[in-house]
Amino acid sequence: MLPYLCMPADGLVTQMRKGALAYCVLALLSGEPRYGFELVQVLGQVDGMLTTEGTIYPLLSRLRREGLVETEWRESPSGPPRRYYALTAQGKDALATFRSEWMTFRQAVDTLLQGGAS
Amino acid sequence: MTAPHASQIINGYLARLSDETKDLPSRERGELIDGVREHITEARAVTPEETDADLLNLLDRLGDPADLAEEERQRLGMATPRQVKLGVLEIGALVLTPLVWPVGVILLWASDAWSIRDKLIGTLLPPGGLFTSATAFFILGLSPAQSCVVVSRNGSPVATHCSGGLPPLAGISLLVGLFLLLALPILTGIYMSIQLRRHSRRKQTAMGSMAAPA
Repeated sequence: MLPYLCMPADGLVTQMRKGALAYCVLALLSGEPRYGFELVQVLGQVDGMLTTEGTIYPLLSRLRREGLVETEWRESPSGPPRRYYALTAQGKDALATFRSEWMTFRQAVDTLLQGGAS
Repeated sequence: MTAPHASQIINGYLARLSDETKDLPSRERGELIDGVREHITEARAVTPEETDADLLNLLDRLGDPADLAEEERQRLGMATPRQVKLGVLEIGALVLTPLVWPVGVILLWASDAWSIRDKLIGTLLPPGGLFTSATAFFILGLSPAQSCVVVSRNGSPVATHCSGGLPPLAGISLLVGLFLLLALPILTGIYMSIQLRRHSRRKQTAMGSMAAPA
């Protein structure tokens, strides 16, 4: 296992961020449908979550293919219509599952990193 | 107020994205390009006094088209298109397929630079390459198309007896066939070199994006 641990942490963090981003997007959509650029703006307010803004579009496309979100065109008050993304029932389930697993995982890692495993 | 070079900058970016995503399924490709186009429109709408620099920053934040294409491939579980290195093998295949067909075809299949479809075209279209054409011309040149015997009496010709030769229709179809024999290897060679250039250009852009990590 040593070679793996010797790897710079960058790659791991990138992978974790990428994996978590999908659920962050689902969480942002749980309140109300949003359009792509709006999601980018909200995610951009949280430091380090979205480094390359364009990568949200392949992600949204995949979430739609997997049936976690659905899309709908709506008129925009200014400019061309916008594609809105809304959470499906399946998306809600996926988000709820991730939420509980994430809490457990985060607590476990926090506990161990802070040396409080006693 | 739009940036002075807005359309050049944006169209250039979208053209690169279109080029980088050529291997993606058309639906996903269209969705990605639409999403990015919409993003640019929305982002510009919230920039009141737009400059060229604003636009360039906007596109920088969006990300390099090669990175977006790669992200889409990963999300689709697709493999990155294989990188092609141009070497003696490719040049040999390109030169020898029209000229010395069997050798060229072996090199063609040994190389990664062409897709299976291109390799089949290279193999099947030139029927033996220019070598065959040259042989065909040579044989045709040797065989007399028409032989005539002049019958003469007292030094003055009285009759001409001709034998052999081809009926006009067969002659024309033979000419067309020979032309195809000549043209097809050359056309295939041109096609293969175009495909090779396209592949190598994709490789260069992929390398360029690797040099600048996100």
